Amino acid sequence: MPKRNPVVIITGTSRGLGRALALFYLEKEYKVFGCSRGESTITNHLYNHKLVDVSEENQVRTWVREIKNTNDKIDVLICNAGSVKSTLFMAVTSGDVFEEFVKSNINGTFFIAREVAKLMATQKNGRIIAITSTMVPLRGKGTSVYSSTKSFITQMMKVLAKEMAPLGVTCNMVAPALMSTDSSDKLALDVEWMKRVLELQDIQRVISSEEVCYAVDFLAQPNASAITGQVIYLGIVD
Amino acid sequence: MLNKTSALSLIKESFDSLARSGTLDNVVEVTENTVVMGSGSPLDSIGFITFITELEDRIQVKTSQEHYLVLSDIGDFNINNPSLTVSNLADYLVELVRKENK
Repeated sequence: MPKRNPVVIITGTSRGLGRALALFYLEKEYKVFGCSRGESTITNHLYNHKLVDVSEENQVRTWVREIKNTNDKIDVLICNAGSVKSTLFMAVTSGDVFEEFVKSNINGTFFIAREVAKLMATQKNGRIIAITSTMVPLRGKGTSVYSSTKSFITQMMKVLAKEMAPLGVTCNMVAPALMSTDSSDKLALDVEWMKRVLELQDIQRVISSEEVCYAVDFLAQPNASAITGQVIYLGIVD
Repeated sequence: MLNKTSALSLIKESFDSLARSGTLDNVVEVTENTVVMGSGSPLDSIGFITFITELEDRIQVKTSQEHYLVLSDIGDFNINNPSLTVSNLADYLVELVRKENK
């Protein structure tokens, strides 16, 4: 019997952590379904890219349906796509910025997690992992909107974890501290901001994407079936 | 297009499929008054999710189009009438397919 490649869906794979996660799972010979609003530069026969805006409900539904129709099982979902771009204090954060964060972080995670959870419920197995942030417990200044949306995701995943637990589907989160990605690199150009964030961390250095991939993969393992509704924080003590 | 008889048939096939897969303990005798969601439904919450997924798949095969069920769009299923029957659901499916084919 030919070997089956496990299937992983990853959102936001055109750059940053999403891209690193896609490459990590391709190395492990997973069949990777990635999406983003822009084109991907990943070329691998096990990689399938689709232009999808995860904040658009119908685009997400159609994409997940397509994946389902060509694969008998979805093993892992990694909800990664989201915005990381404002460091403004709340008093000067515009309504547009607020709405963009809500749309990309909350709507995006809700739609993809809901659609895939439905399928995992029917297959009675699966791993859902969302990327959140250490800014939820740290409450860093300038992250009122960003950390609130990540806090929403944390609560949503914990409730989903309870709903899905009887079906063999686990839902967990990985919350990295300051990371080196395209988005955070732009923010890190502001040296003062970077210094301020590192001071809040217990491990006072930038977290690598490899370290995040390792934590995600720990939760994605078949043997992690008793771990659900948990957050793995990288770089801080919570 | 989808008429009410076909919609009822798809609903019944979805119930039968759930019984075959073990999601339902027994085959459900489906009538237009059978409650799909609400008091008296044979489906628990997870059974209901599975049922909706199954039904969406069957509608896709039947109509060769993607259609997604949105419970809050069902006029006869609301806070004043929190019980969704097979008949209400079939009417909704007919309307859903008709509207999306316009």
